[in-house]
Parts: sequence; C-alpha cells; structure tokens
Amino acid sequence: MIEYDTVIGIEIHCQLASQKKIFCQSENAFGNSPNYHIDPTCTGLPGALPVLNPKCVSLALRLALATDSAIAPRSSFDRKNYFYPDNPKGYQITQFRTPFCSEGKITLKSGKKIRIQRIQLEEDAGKSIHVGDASLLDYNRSGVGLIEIVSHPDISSPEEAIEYLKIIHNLVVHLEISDGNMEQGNFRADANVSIKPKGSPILGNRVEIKNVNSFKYLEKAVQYEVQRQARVLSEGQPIVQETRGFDSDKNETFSQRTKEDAQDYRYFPEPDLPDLLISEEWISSVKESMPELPQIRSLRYQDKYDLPVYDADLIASWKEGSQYFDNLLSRVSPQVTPKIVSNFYMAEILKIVKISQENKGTQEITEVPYPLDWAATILLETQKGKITGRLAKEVLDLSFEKNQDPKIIIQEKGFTVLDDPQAIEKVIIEITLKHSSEVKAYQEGKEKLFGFFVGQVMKVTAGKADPKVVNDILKKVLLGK
Amino acid sequence: MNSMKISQIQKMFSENPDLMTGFYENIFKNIESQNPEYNSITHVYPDIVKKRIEELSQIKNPQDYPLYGVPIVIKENIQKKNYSVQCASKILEGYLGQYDSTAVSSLEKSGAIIIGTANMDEFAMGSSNEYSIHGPVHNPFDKKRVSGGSSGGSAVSCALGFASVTLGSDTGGSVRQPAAFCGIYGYKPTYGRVSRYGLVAYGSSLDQISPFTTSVDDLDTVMKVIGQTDPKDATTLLHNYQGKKACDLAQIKVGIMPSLWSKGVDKSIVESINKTIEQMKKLGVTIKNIDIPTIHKCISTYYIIASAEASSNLARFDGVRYGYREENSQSIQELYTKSRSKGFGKEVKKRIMLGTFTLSQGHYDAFYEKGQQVRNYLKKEIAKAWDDVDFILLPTTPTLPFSIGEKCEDTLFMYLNDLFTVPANLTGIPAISCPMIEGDKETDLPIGLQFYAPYNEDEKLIGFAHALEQKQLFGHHRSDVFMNQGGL
Amino acid sequence: MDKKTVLQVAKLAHLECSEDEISYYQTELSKIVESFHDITNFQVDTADADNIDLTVAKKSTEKFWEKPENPENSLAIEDLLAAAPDKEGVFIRVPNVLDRTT
Repeated sequence: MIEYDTVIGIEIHCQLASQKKIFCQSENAFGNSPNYHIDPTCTGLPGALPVLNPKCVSLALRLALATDSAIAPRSSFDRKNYFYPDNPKGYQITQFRTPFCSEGKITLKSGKKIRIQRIQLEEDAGKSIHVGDASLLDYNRSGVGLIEIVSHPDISSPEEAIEYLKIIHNLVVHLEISDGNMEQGNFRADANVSIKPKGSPILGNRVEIKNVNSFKYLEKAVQYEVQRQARVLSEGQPIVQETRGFDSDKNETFSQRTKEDAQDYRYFPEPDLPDLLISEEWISSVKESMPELPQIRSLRYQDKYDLPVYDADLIASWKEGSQYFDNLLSRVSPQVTPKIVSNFYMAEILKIVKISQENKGTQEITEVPYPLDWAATILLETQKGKITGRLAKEVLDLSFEKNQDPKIIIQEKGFTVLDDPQAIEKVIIEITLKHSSEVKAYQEGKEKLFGFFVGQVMKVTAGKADPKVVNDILKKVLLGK
Repeated sequence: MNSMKISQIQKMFSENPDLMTGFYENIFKNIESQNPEYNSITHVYPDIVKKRIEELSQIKNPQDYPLYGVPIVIKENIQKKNYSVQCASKILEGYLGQYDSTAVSSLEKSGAIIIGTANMDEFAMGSSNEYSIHGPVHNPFDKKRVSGGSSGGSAVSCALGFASVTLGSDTGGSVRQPAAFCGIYGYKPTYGRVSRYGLVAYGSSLDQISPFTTSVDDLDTVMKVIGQTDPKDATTLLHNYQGKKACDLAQIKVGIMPSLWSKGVDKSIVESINKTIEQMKKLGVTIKNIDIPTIHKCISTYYIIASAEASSNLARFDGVRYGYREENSQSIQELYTKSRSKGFGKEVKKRIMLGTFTLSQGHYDAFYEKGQQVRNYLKKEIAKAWDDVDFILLPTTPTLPFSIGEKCEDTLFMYLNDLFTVPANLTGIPAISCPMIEGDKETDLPIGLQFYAPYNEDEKLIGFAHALEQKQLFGHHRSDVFMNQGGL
Repeated sequence: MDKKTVLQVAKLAHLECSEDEISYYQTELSKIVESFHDITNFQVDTADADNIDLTVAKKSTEKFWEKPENPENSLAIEDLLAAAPDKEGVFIRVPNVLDRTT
C-alpha cells in the first residue's frame, strides 16, 4: 500500500477596501444599482487610460509587512490579454513579471512556516448574470483593486490549508485591508493539489480547485481530491492536470477545464503605467498608520497589563472585541484592575457575543452587542461594593435580555448590596438561633461549617449581603456567643 | 500674405464677439463647397457651434481666453462627447464620443470652438490616408495625390483654412509626414507632453496628440493650452509647456547625417536640405556631421512595438459595449469573431495579426523584448548626439506626395515612408516638420524638413523653429493660394 | 509561416479568416517577420539592455499616498448604455457566455 505525501499550494484573490478602484477614479462600493460605479477606464471606452491609486498599494503593503515579505523598491505592471465580456479592455492589468513583494511567510500553530511566493497587485473583472440565452453585464466590480497571494506548495494537509487560509483571512480583516467576506466575493481562494509517493522529490501533476466559496467546503474539496488522486494512481491511471470545481451536495470535485485549453495571455509590460516606486518613507508611513496586529496586541496586553498569555491571546484575537476591551479598561481604571476587566470580558462579554451569534444565526458579528457604558457601570458598581460580584452577572444577563440600563435593573430589583452591619447582624442572629446545633459543632472545631452559615445568609438576603461584612460579623457572632 | 493667426482671431472676437456668427457661417459654407473635392472633413456640427458661440458671448473677459473664438478641427480618433469618434472604421460606425478628452477640454476652457472631425487612416494605421472607410483624402496641391497619413484629414483642413489649428495624432510620423505633404507645420511633442486621455490608443508608448498649424506662433499658442500635465494620464510629464524660448542662431549647433538622404530620397528634397543648410550657416548656425547607426533598425523596431501594443489596444473593439456588433450571433465567441472580422479593415487586421503573433508564446522574447532592447539602445545613441549638437536636421519624407492608389498595395514602400519620423516616437523626443516656402520647382508640391530636439526640450525646439521662420527659411507653402479659401 | 500558426494567431485575436485570407496572411506576415531579422538577430550587450523609463523619472510630490482618494463615478449609466448595441434594463446584454458552442 503506497503512502503519499500531499502537496498543496493556495492562491488567494482578495479585494482591497480602498474608496476608489485601483486604476481608475470610480468608487469601490457594494450593493448599489448595476453600472453605477463606473467611468471610461473600467468600462474600457476608447481612449481611456489607467492611473494607479496609491491607497491600494498602501493597503497591500500592510500585508507585505505583516508577512515579512521582501518589498521591491521598483516593480511594474503587465497586461494579461484575453477576451471575456466581464473584461472590458480585453486585458487585465496585473503584475506578472515583477510582483511588488515576494518571499513572505506565516507560521502555523504547529510552528511550521508556510512561505508566500508572491503578492501582486491587479484589478478585478466585472460581473455577469446568466439569464436564459443571455448574459447581462455589470461593471461595478470592474477595476476594483485586488491582491493575489500565492503560497509556495508548502502545505501538507487539508487542515493546514484551512489554517493557512484563516490566518491570512484574519490578517486582511484585522489590518483593514479587505472586508474579507467570502460570500460577497471579496475573498476568494483556489487550491492546487497534488500527491507524490512519500519522500519522493518528484512532484505529481497538479489539479487546481476553483470557485469554492467557503472554508468548510474548500477543506472538504481538498480532502476529497487527495483521496481521489490516490485512488486514480492506485488504479494505474495518471493524474490529469486540470481545473476542478466542488459539488457540495455530492461532496466531490468535478472536472471543469483541462490545462490543455490553457490560454496564451501574451503578457507584456503595461505601457500606460510607469514603474511603481516604493520608497522607505512610504513603507514607514504604512507601518506607523496600520492597525495593530493581533500578535502585537497580545504582547501589549501581556507587558502592560500583566495578563497571562492565554487571556491576552484570546482577547487580542478579535479586533472589535479588543477595541471594546481597551475602551472599557480606560473607562474603569484605575478603580478596576485589568485582570478584573479581562475576566469580565472573557467570561461575560464573550458569552453575550455568543448568544447574539446564535440568535442571529451567523458567525459574522462586527461589534460587541452590549453598550460600553453599561459594562462600565456594572464593573464600577461591583468595585464600589454596591452590588456583589455574583449579582453583577445576573444584572448583566437581565440588562442584555431586556436591553435596559443596568442602573435601572439594580434599582428596580433592589439588587443593591446589603452592607449595613446591623441588618446583617440581625439576619445572622436569626440564623444562629435556627441552627443552634450547627453553631455548637462549629464552636467545637468543625470550621467547615462556616461556609454553611455564609450560604444561609446569602439565601436569606437573596445574595445581596456584602460578603466581607458577613464574614466579619459571622465570625464575631459565632465565636463571641 | 498669410492667413489670420490665432492671436489676430482671438483679438478680433474678444473685441467684437458678434463677428463670430458670420465668421463661422462662412467657414461652414466653404467646407460644404470644397470638402467634397478633398474629403478631409468627416463631420461638422454647426448647431453645436451655434450654441457654443452663444455660450462664449456670455463671457465677460474674453481677452483672457487665449483661444477665444478660434476654430479647431480634431482627428476622428479623439474623444469629444457627442462628436463622431469613428476612427475611420466600420467597427465604430455611428459611434459618438462618450466623454471629453483632456486636450479637447483644455482647448474649450481656453475659448476654442471645435467645429468638426477630420478624416484619417483607420485607427491611425497608415501613411497616406487611403485606408479610410470615408475614402481617401486629397492633397490640396494636386487632388490626384495623397495628403499623407494617418492624420491626412487634419493636415488638409489646416492647409485649406477650414480651421486655425487642427489636431492629429502622431505614432510613427502621422502628423509630420502629412504636414510635409501639405505645406504646413506639424509638431510631435515630447512623449507625455500632451495628455493621451481620450485619444483612441494605437501604440501606447508612441502616441502623442499633435497639432497642425500654419505658423510657429500659432503652434506655440496651442501648445501652451494642450501641453499640460494631466492626472488622468500617468505617462504625462510633471511640468507644463512653458512657451517658446528665445533663440540666438549664432549659438546653435545642428547635426546632420548626409548618408541618410544620399539614396532613395527625391532630388528636390535633397536640394531643399542643402539649401537650408547653407542658409543656416549664413545665419551663424554651426553644422556638424553626426551618426546614429541604429537608426536603420528603427522601422522594424517600430512595427514590432506598435503592432504589439495595437493588437492589445484594439481588443476592446469586440462588439459588446459600443460600435458594430454582428447581429444574430449564437454565441459570445461568434459575436467577437464576426464583429471584429467584419468591422476592421484589411490593414488593421493585418497589424493585429502581426502584433498578436509577436506577443504570442515562444515569440515574445525574439520580437517584443528584443525590440524594446533595440529601442533602449537607440535612446542611448541619440542621447550621446546631444553632447555635440542642439538639434538634428533631416528630411520628413523620402519622397514628394505620391499618387492616390500608386503605393497603396506595396507594404514595404509604405513602411519606408516612415523612416525619418519613427525614431522620434521610439525615443520620445520632440520633432517638428517645417514647410519650405518654395515647393518642388517642377510641380510646386510641398516639401517639409524635420528637426529633432532632445527629450523634454519643446520650448527650445519651437523657439528655434520660430527663429528660422522669422528669417524666412520656412513658412506656410503657397499660403496666398489658400488665404480665405477655407474661411480664415 | 504555416497555416496552423496563422489559424492559432487568428483564434487568439478573435478574427476569422477565409482561405484567401489565410494565404494572404501567410505571405504578408512571413514577409514582414522576415524583415524583422535585423532586430531578432541584434546582439545586445547586457549592460545596454537594462530598461530605461521612457518618461523622465518622475520625482513624485511629497507623500502622495496620503492624499484623499476623492472617488468619482464619471460615466453616467445613460452614456454607457447609449452606445451599447444591445441592452436590457441597466445591463449590457450578450449571448449567454456559459453556452459553449465551440
């Protein structure tokens, strides 16, 4: 039984979230009426010319920096010539010979490094809707900036492929390079899959898997493909170099187009655009202004707030959440410590986020669904001792459920902490009278019973009693009498 | 006597805008009666011009508009909204401009009036204006002869006085050569001096919108308006044309390469060059022999690069968004292929095939890449020449205007016709064709001579041409014949 | 130039050729390509082969990457559709591209 190594390379096309398209002046936006965001250049009118939008380069540079890529001080653009109705000029402007950066890398959880061969700037095509015997053309998307990210074939399993994809996806979203929405089509991934006998230096024929628009399906597609190729080889057949799509109903890949039909794109340098010169100054400027990376943010939490690594990583991993955390902390410090805020955030806020996701039926959530002021109130009231930590949770849950200011809930429900010593002493004395045998047992040395008394006090006061006061008075009462 | 200069027209109308109506009526009348003989104009827009005159008459300070009321004709490959941009091709039959090119905007912002569009070789591919769906353009001096091309219509319209200034486009000589054939000035600016935004692209790294005028003053005026940096064209230079620089002829050194015209050039042209050399010497100009050995490789280099870029630029003419579309196509492939095959003329298709071939897999290195290397080599050679001389003098064309139909089937001849002009496009340097005041002794056909200048030295070149014109070395050929013919 | 090459090139350029045209291109293109031998055989000293910018090296203005983008949708949909040979509502229409008849 031959064992095979899996060899996978991933190609990602990611739209750049600039306001303007990459080579022309019309808006880069989504959801408006067709053929609205257009100008002579992106509709390929006679005489129109491309002009590079530097903002697209700045966005792409963020990824170059985050992946430790080598940035070319000078790179150029090429024309990729082919006919297709969503390609109005009859060519796409891309960077075939000289991508603006190359040889970057990202690190998987296992510590394995996946090398990124190149990241290149290019433009997106328009959209066509196929209805009956016609195709209808919409140029809103034509000319939107893209980066194409090509990995080396360093990936050895479907799981690694998805991990790699998720890391890149996280980066582009975190760095605000792209909306990264696979369903809307601004983050697209293709996988090149081949297998070879274990340890062999000779690569097998590659199959390209295209047009799969979710991580889940891509993983399944790659899994299926690896097995399919093993099966084909074991039957003594060769692997045909081709493009395959994924049928999510059958959970199988299927053939779309063989590489024999491969087009001759007649690449040549784009004469309408001068070379792209990226200066050190530009790079520094991008470095300074780019959003903080999760890894860096986590380190900041560890250094500045002394949070443990696990906590820091968890909070830093979600961009909007960590901003919420930062804002909440600045609101409540110095009275409330970072550790308390982080515990509250992880245990309570993230719980609410999860509930919200379940209610909405989606993983996509772009902000914490609980007002910052309210969270601050709860933390401060707890710290001041106005409510107990235990009740704080209940207040939060009720406040979220009813969408009501926690101050109101505390008031209405009478959750204010009971810390009046006389009132508490009264309660304690009543309890000691009711449970006199337990009092005797405690006084004779059964110290564990202290907890029992505390519990009773809490039961009677519906959890409102201030634990410190209870402890002090209870001790006094139990030992005094 | 010369036809009215731009400055005179501008002054006349600034002082009295009411004169515009009658003036333009006269121009349109003349075009109507004479254009059928020359076929230089393809469309006129008297109604739009009428509205434009009304608009201009509202301006409070017309004297501040350098082209106020000045009539302009543009080659029909230059975008102006609602004007024909047919490019003399069936594939753009009926196509009206969808936006304004920057050059047109600039002219109009200065008060100019664009009266119509000029005939040309289809998609600017040709050097005789015989490859046009509108039929050939006739030479003003002998209607049986060609006007030159591809901007033949613009050249003749300027020579006949249908407009003060006409715009053409020069990719390999398409303005300088017809200027020489029609006895007027034709100027190819430094590449990037004039915006190409709105010029239907032929050879993107070679094209420039280029003006025809009957005097150097007019050329200077129009260059100040259109020679501007443009954020819509990434290949434009960063600085605007500053106006002609004063020139002391006694300080000037002009380079010549006599071997270039020792063979294959008409006798009268050689005589004109020699005469001009003598006249310049008398004025204190130093004449030096120079050599640019690579110049003989220019034609091949030019055609490789131009047809490659053209094959890509013309891909957008696919029947989808504008122009001719083959009806009842059963598939998108059929739509593309039939629309293009029926829509493009023979010469254009040939160049597309040539360009596609040279860019195709396995051939790119041998042709396009090599061609660009030769081009770089040529640039370096020419750059060295400027160490010794300020300008280079050479003929514009090897022959006098030939007969319509005479050379049109002979591919190689047509290519050689561009020998003196393409080096300027390949290297990006500015070049001007200046008309001899006296034409050929026997036929009176016009003769044009050409000057090259270093890259970015448009101000110096136009200044130099002006100095020579002042000394009567050059001038509008037989302007007396054409004065008022068109209306000017 | 052989017939196969002419047909391949025509396919890439989306031009169809009659038998006459194929012969015409075979002759003409061969002639022209033959005349290019002075280029294809040109020996370039590698030092001379480096690419020079055709345009004067542009010293760009300070920090052009910080300038606001100012997008502008400068082509009205009416102007796009006015020139279109076939349209449907707000779209330009062509035969269905997914039907592969060839």
